[in-house]
Amino acid sequence: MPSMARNCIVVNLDRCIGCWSCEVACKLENDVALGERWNKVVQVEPFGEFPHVSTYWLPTMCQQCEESPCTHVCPTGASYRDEQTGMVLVNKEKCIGCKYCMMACPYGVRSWNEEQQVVEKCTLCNHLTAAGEKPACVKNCCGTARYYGDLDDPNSDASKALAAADADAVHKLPDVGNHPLTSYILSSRFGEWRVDDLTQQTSKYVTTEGSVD
Amino acid sequence: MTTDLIKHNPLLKKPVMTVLALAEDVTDRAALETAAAAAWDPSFSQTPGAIIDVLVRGGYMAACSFVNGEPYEGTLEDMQLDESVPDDAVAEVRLSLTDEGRALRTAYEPERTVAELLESRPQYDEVFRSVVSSCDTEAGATLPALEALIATFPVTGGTEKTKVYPQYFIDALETAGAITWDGAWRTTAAGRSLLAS
Amino acid sequence: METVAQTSISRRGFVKLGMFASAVAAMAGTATSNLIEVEPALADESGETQKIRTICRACLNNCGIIAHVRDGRVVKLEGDPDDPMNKGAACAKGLAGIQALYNPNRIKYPMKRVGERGSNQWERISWEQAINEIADVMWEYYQKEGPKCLVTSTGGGGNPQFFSPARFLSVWGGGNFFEPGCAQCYLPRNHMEFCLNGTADTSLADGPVTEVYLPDCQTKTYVMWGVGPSTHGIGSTGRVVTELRNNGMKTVVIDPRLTPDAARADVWLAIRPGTDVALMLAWMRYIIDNDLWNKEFVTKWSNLPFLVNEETRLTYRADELGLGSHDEYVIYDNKTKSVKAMPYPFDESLDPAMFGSYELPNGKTARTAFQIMKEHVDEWTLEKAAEVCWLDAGEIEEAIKIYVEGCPNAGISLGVATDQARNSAQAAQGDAVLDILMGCIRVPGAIVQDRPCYVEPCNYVVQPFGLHHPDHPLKMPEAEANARLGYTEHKGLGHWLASHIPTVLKAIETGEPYRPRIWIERSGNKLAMIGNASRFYDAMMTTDLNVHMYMHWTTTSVCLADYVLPTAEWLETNYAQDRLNTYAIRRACTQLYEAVDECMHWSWLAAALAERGHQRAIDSFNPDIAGKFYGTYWKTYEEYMDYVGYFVGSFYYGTEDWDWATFDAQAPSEYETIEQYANKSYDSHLEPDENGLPVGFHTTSKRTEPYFDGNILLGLTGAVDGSGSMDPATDVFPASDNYNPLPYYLEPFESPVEGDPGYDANYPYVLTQGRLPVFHHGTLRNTPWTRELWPYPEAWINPETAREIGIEDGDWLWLESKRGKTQGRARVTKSVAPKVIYQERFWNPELLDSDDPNRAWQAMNINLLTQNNDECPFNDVYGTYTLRGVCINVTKADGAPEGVWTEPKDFTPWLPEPSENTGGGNAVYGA
Repeated sequence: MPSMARNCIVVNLDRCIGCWSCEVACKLENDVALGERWNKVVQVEPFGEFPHVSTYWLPTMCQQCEESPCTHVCPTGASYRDEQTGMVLVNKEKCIGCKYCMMACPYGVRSWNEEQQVVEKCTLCNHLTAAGEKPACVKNCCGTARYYGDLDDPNSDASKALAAADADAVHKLPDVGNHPLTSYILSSRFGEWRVDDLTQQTSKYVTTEGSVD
Repeated sequence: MTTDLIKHNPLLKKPVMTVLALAEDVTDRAALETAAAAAWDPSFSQTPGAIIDVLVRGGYMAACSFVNGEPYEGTLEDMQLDESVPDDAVAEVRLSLTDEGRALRTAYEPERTVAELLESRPQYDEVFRSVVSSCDTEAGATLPALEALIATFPVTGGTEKTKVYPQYFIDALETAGAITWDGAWRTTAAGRSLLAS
Repeated sequence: METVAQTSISRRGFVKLGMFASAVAAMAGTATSNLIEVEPALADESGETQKIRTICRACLNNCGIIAHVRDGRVVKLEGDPDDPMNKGAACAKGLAGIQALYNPNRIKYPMKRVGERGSNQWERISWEQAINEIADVMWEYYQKEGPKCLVTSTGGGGNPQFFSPARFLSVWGGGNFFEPGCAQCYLPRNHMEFCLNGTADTSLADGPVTEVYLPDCQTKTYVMWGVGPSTHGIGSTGRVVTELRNNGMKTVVIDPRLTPDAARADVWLAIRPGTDVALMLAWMRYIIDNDLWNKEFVTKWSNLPFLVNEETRLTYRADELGLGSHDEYVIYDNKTKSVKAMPYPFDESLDPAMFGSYELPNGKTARTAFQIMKEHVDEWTLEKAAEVCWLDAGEIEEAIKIYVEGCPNAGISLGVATDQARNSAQAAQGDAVLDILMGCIRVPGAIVQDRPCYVEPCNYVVQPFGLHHPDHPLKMPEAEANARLGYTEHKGLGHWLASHIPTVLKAIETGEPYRPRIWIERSGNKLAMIGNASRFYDAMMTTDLNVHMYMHWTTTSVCLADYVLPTAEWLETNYAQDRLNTYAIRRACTQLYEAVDECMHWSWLAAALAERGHQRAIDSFNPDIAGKFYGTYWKTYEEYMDYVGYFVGSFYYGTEDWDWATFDAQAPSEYETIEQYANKSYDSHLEPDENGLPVGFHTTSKRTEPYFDGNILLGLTGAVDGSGSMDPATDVFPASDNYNPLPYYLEPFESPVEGDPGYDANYPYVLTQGRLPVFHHGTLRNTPWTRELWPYPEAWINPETAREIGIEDGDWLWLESKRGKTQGRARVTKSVAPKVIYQERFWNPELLDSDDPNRAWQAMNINLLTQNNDECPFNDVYGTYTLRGVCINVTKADGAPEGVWTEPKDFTPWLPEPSENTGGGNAVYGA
């Protein structure tokens, strides 16, 4: 087992207020095109019986899977894991635009850059983190809901956020063997984690059983 | 709808009426522009050409293009781009007042608008006439003089909630065309007609 | 397989340049990355990136922002971690600032319309020509009619200097000023809550609520009544409320809509729009009946024990009953069983009865104010409120209990929602009464604190002459102030020197009592923001001259304006902003085209009028007349900036020596410590005055006045006796109604309740609005990154109602009221109750270039449906018309309105067009 770092973002959904600041911060930092969303915030449509409904906002971006399907399927090595940082990244110079990685990603968090005809996605703002700054989405988050860092470093913001959370409040997106690193914190006080039966409804909302019926 | 142009563009009223007055007799566009320019007041905020365009756009005047005396389907711009039109062809645009244009001109004839104002507000008949009359001197009337005059009429005083200010009367008479300002308030011809009636 | 060319990939846009140059340095030493190396030639030419600490104005949160400027271009924005309120957060609105700044639709130069209104043909003119032509018309009209011919307006969006129009009018010498917010946004709370609590209003969005930002904030419960910080403010207010909530602060949210704050609240009361006062009265009854009110505070520091004259409804003065002096009030003393004078602050030998009716020396009887209040709210049981408000009585009780448990380290913030219907004044009264009853004032954790904004509202620097000095020579003459349209009926408007919009429109329509003929407007989109927009359009098409001052083309410019003057984006302006105990600075990062801070527009007009001989305008440039406090008008931007520096120095730092350079050199900085800032409020009413007595509250009686008999005086005279940061005009003529000392409930005029007189089966649903985190009022519909997130207005409909109508999620709809019809797109959701429809204001910039530019404000604009006409009564004190709580019908439409943009790529034409720092309009005019 290589002693790579396990860098990722932890998102605290107790705090996420669905403001889209992280989406726009990411676009500003990385000049992401209209229609492309490297960090897509969707709302889980309120479910339950009105007015005692439950809802939360779910920012989704590259989950930095430990067994990343995208790197496995890439024919050219454009989708790769950086040896030093452990990050799953895209080397656009090698990308041939076959989009296998986009199909393989269970979360649909990779984007197609029309202009350059390559795949791109969240880079964990490694150009900022290498200079000691936080990723743009983390810095600007208005709920102070995002934490970046190496899960193997107990002093990283990400590790500390996870340590402070109740174990049963820590969730991940469905794992189909890819082992996403990204965790979501949602306490029962604030909402019920429903992820297994989410259906994409529109670009902003996802539904689950019990909502919109 | 016919009179909306002036209702929606109060400061275009005078230039529009100037062009409409000339348009019955002058049909060549270039000549109309020249005639209008000669009658133009420096306070008019648009050029004669712009006003003609306004009237054509609104359907108050119709513009017909002619090439070498023959009717041409299209505008001057179309003509210039049209390769079938020889470079040395004589191009003309002739204008004519439409029925809407005549209706507009009639609707805003000052004697008519003054009469309409008086009819619409019979309770102010005496006030209006008094104001118009006091402007009918060589020196005209000052604003303070008119304010003082209007205040003498009980119908304008009322309670604080029903009070009607002198500005209402001055504004209404000016808009209707009974008085005009040139450093003092003066009675117009239409105003004098009112006094005579 | 294809290989992609190695070298020809270039990333779109100027932003890349700045990033790459710094990115290369950052990445030095990293083995691989997905970034492409900058070509050396570009790297060599590029200069340094400057980081400028400045203040956002995408909305009212005024967050600290760091702008990155490279080669004269703003290339990046991020939150300022050192700002004490946003602490590094920055929202979508602020981050879209670069797109707003370099928006291709900027108004770049003064423009004059060619042809008729609405023909959308323009010629570029110089500032010189623009100012002089406008001034020529203004001067002619001033001479021939006097100052009443002018009406000015502003708005909350687009980086306003709120009092610019009012300042100009005070120089002009008369006329009217309106703002679509004002009586429909913040004025009712800003005025009325202060009148009752003698301390401050409870607006979170507009700034007065500062307690939540304190380190170690003690607030145990925060009731957010029609307040959605996650939607209105985000960087500062959204951030801090989220922080406190996650650290254990309890919250109650009262909102028809499931906002993020409602979703995270301990109790969410999904209240029927327009019924808030009913709920407040039920809260009052519960607190009184269950004896939960704060005995010490209410007995000693409110006017509730005072006896009230049953005929006049004013509290008795001791001299009226021969019991003492005029500045003493009257109570019934339980100990001596007699009516006694109550001196200030409190006679400890007395035990005032809080309730009851008592016989007076003159044989009449009088109740205590508290008894009157108790009887007044008696009908408002929890059950009755539940029925009226469409709530559950048990949950109402739960909410009250959570609030009460936190008191007095608690409080209720009231938001803009209740300012938008005809119960506006009463809701502000109700909110203030509740916190007074619970003693949640000037104690740690309370929302109501004594940390004054020195200039109401929102601490704007530039002020109208005479705002604090009634004898100032340039204060608007009293006769003209009293002639302001609608002021007679709605005296509360005087607090902001404003006029009543429906009365202004009626004056334009009928000519009476006098007709405004020149309209100068400094904001974005009246046609999207004013209630019953069609009426507004019809009226403003008939004024003689319309001047629009704004940053980019909107419906006002295209459909109504004769002249269009460019104003500056927040990234182009210099200003000052208080941030708790610090003063921060907005530093212009660039200045584009010939745009200029709106302050200069008014100033230049004043200068042009001065040249023509307008005496007050001449005086406004004379420092001996204008005075240092208000400053003269400014010929150059530098003069304005120096005034700002002076103002901050003199008001906050105790020095008269500052200019802009001094301010700039040390800003942001503390003007007092955070401890001083926090502590100066706690029990500040107990601080001794020069006579050794407590200074008390800023009211007539120096106690809080939950029984606000000053309301009667306000209606009669226009004055509220007692100190405050703004004093309305005095000695005006009577109102038609006596404003009520207590809050009372008015069922919305258009009602969704069958059987109510206001019910119309043709319009069975009730419409409300609410803020979004990507827009601020009418702004940001034309910035691609915000617009692609909310490309059309969503109509939120409960599934039950959707089924009833036959609508599915995503359907395009018609929404219709008695005033008109418009469209929206259905979101079927449990975020609203059955029969309640939510849709936010909207306009479509893309339709401005079409054959019918009016469609831009008609296609998807709920303000075609809202009310602003004579058929519905206005609020008594402020004249508020109805924006939330009108009744509508909803039907399915065939599809989207023609020509509207809904897909992200549609907004490509609006992507930023960067341009050079030209020095703005200041560089070409005004020196």
